[in-house]
Amino acid sequence: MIEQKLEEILLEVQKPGRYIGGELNSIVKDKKNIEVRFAFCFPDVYEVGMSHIGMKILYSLFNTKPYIWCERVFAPWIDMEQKMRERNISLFALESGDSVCDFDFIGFTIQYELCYTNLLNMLDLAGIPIRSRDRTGLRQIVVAGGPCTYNPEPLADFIDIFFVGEGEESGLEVIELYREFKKQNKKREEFLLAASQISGIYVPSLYEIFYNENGEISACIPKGDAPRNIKKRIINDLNHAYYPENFVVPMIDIVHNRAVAEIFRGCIRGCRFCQAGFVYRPVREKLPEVINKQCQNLCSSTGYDEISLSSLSSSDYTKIEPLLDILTKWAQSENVGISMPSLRVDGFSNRFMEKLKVVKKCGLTFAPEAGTQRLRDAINKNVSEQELLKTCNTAFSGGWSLVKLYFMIGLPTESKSDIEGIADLAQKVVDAYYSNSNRQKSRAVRVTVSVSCFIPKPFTPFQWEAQNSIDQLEQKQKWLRDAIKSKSRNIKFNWHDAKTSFLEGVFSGGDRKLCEVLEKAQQSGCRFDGWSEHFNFSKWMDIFNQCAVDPNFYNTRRRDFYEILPWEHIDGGIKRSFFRQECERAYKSETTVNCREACSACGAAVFGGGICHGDC
Amino acid sequence: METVRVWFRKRGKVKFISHLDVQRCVLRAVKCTKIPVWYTQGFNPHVFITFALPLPLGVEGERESFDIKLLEPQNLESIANAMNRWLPKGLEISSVGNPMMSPNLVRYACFSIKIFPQKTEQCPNLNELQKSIEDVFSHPNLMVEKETKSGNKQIDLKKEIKSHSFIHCKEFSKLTAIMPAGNERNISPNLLIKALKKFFFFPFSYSIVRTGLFTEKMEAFY
Ligand code: SF4
Repeated sequence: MIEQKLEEILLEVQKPGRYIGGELNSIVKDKKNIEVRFAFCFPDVYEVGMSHIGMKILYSLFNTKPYIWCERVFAPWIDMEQKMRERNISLFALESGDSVCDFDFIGFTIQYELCYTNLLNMLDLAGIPIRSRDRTGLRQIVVAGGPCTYNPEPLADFIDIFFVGEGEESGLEVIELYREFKKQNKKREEFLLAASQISGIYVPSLYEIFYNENGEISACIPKGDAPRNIKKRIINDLNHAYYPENFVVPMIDIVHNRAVAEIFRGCIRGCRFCQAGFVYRPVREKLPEVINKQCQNLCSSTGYDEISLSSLSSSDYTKIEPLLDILTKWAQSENVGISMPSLRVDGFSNRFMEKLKVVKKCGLTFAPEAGTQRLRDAINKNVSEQELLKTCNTAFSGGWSLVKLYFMIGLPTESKSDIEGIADLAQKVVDAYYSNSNRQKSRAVRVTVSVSCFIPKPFTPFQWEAQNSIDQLEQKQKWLRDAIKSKSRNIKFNWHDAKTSFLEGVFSGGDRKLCEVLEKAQQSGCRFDGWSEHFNFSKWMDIFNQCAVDPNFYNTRRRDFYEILPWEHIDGGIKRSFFRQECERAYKSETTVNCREACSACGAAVFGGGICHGDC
Repeated sequence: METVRVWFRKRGKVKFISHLDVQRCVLRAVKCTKIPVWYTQGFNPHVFITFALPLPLGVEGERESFDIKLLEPQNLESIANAMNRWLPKGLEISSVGNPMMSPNLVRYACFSIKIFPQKTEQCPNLNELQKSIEDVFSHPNLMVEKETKSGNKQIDLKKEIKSHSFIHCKEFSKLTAIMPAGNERNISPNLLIKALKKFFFFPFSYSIVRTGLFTEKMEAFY
C-alpha cells in the first residue's frame, strides 16, 4: 500500500532517487531473525548523509550482528515532506520501507547545530512523540551521537540516550543491553537507568539542572545511580578496530562520492577555536598496511575509482609517504585516483608533490584562518606567511594556479588590521604567482578567499569567549570586501552569512532552556536551517521572543571562568584548567607546541592510548 | 578487441534514477567484475561504454542495452552473471551478445503505459475509464506543449504516435504506443501522460515501460 502511494509521489518530486534504497551493498535482512531494529537517521538530505563516514562505519558494524538490522533514513527534502504529509506517508527506512515508528532504536548522528529542527521534524514525520517523556514502553529509543553531543543540552528533552565520543563500542553495548531487557520484558525506565551505567552514555532525563536568577546554571544533579560525569569513549587501537569492507554505493550523485579511508583520528594541532581538534584527542594513527588493505577492499567491492584519505589534517600523518607508495603501486594500474582533502601548508613539500602528481590532482586549499601573524599566534594556528608562500610557490611551479584560502572573522583579540591582513595575504599569493618563473604561463592565478564567522565552541580554549554580534560581523565583512576590492582582480571573496552563524552560536553554547525554542521552531516549519534558501532568521527571532529566551545570553556574552557551563558534566578528557590556560595564552599571543613536538599535558592521556603514550 | 552488447532491464524503483546514474552504476559494476575492458585513453581514462538510447527518468525498461569493448575474449554468459552481482536492485543484465545493428538505426520505441485511476470521488468505473481513453484518441488532434532548447512549442501527438492500442482490465487500462525515438526525433512518453492529464476528468497514476526499440522498417533493434 505504502509502495503504491510512494510510487505516485516519487513521480512528482525532485531527485526521487533519494528515496528508493536498493543500492549496491545496502543490507536487507529477513525480519524473522531480527531482535533489534535500528533506524540510523541522518538529519539532512541523502546526498549529504550518504557522504558521512561515521554513518558508514556504524551501519556496517551494527549489521555484522545477525540479530540487529540497521537501516538508513535521511531527511526528506521540503517537496517530499509536503507530499508525504498530504498522503499520510510516515517517514520510512530505505532498506525495508517500514515506518521508522516501528523501530526499537531511532539513532541520529548530529554533525552541526543547524540540523536540530530536521531531527525533530524527522521524529514528527515518523509519528514518534518528540519529547522523551511522551514516549512509553520498551521501544522507540531515540539515541544520538556525533560532535554536537559534546553539548547535548539543547536536545536534552528529546533524546533518550547520547553517545559521547566514538560510538562503535558503546553503541553495541547499548543495543545488547536492550536485547536482554526486551527478552526479560523490562520497563523503558529500567533500561535507561541501566544504560546510564555504561561508559560514554548520557541519559539526560536522569539529570536535573538548577539555575541562578541570572540564568546561569547553579547545579547539575544526577538522579539515582547515574554517574556525575560522563566520560567520552574512544577506540585506542584503530589497527584492530572494525572498518567496513564495503560501502553502500549510492546511485545518484552525492557530495563525496568515493571510497574513504580513515588514516588517523584526532589532531596534533591545538587550534584554539577548533572543537574537532580537542574532542577527538588523542591522535591515533593506523598503519599503512592496514589502510592499504582497507582501500583495496573498498575499491573492489564498490567499483569506486577514487579514494579519499580522510582525517583532520592528512599531511600530519607520520607515514604518509610509505602509505602513498604502497597505494600507488596498485591504484595506478587499476585507474584509481587518490585524493587528500585536508592539506596543511607545511605538509606540502616538493617530494610530497611528486607523489601527488602520480595520484589525482586535487585543489590546493589552505586554512591560515587569520590574516596576521599576531592573530594566528593567538589562535595557535602555527602557520607562517613564509611557509604559506613557499608552499604556494612549490605548487605554482608544479602547475597549480588555483588556491583557496580559508579564514575566520570575529576571532578573539581581532582588530581591523587583522581583517585587512587577510586581503594583504591574498594579494601576496597573487604576487608570488606572477613572480614565479616556472608557473603555467598561459593561465591566470585564481585566489579564493573564503571567510567564515568565529563561533565559540564547547571544549575549546575559546568556550568562554563572546561571539561577535551580527552587526559587528557584517561590519567586518564590509571592511574585508572593501580591502579586497582595492587588490588584484584575481581574488574572489566568499563569506558565510552572519545570521546563520549567530544561530549556530546560540545552539552550540546553549542549555536546556532552548528545548522549548527548538520544539516551537519545528512546529512553525523551520527546516534545513543550514540551507540558506530555507533559513528564516526573523522567524527564529520571533520564536525566541515567544519563549522569552534571549539568544544573546548564549553566544554574544563573555562567560566567566567560574561559570558552570551547560556541558560541564560531559568529560571530553581534556582538563578545564588546560583550556583556561590556553585561553589566557591566546591573549598574550603565545603559541603552544603540537603533540608531536612535546606533550602539553592536556589531560587526554587518561584514555591510555595514542600519541600521549607514544603509540604513533 | 571485441565489442559486445549487454542487454539489461531497469525495473521497479530504480526507474527513478537518471540515465547518468545508470551509467555510473554500470561503470562501477564493470570495474568490480575486473573483466578486462577497454579504457578511453587520455588524461582521465575511463571505461569505454555507449548506451543505445537513454531512458527518461521514471520509465522502466525491458530491453535496454549498452556496448563495451572486451580486451580478451570472454564467455558472454559469465559476464552477465558477474555483473549482476554488482548492480543495484532493479538493474539486471539479461544477456550479452554481439551487436548486430548500430544504435543510429533506431527510429521508434514501444511504450507500455498502465493507467490506474486514483481512488477518489471522481474515480471512474471501468466503462468510463475505457471511454475516456478512447475519446482522447478519437480526437482529430492531441496538442501538447513540449519544452525544447529553443523555447516551448505545441506539438500534435496524434501525428507523432505511429500506432497505439489498448487493453482494459479491472484495475487499470494498458495503452501501448509506438513513438519516435533515436537521435533524429524523440518524443517522451511523459508528453502523452501530460496530454491525458489534460483530457481526463479524474486523477490517475501511471507506470511506463519501454519494451523495445525499432528501426525505420519496424525491425527490432538487436
Ligand atoms: S596529553 Fe599531551 S600528547 Fe596527549 S593529546 Fe594532550 S597534549 Fe597531546
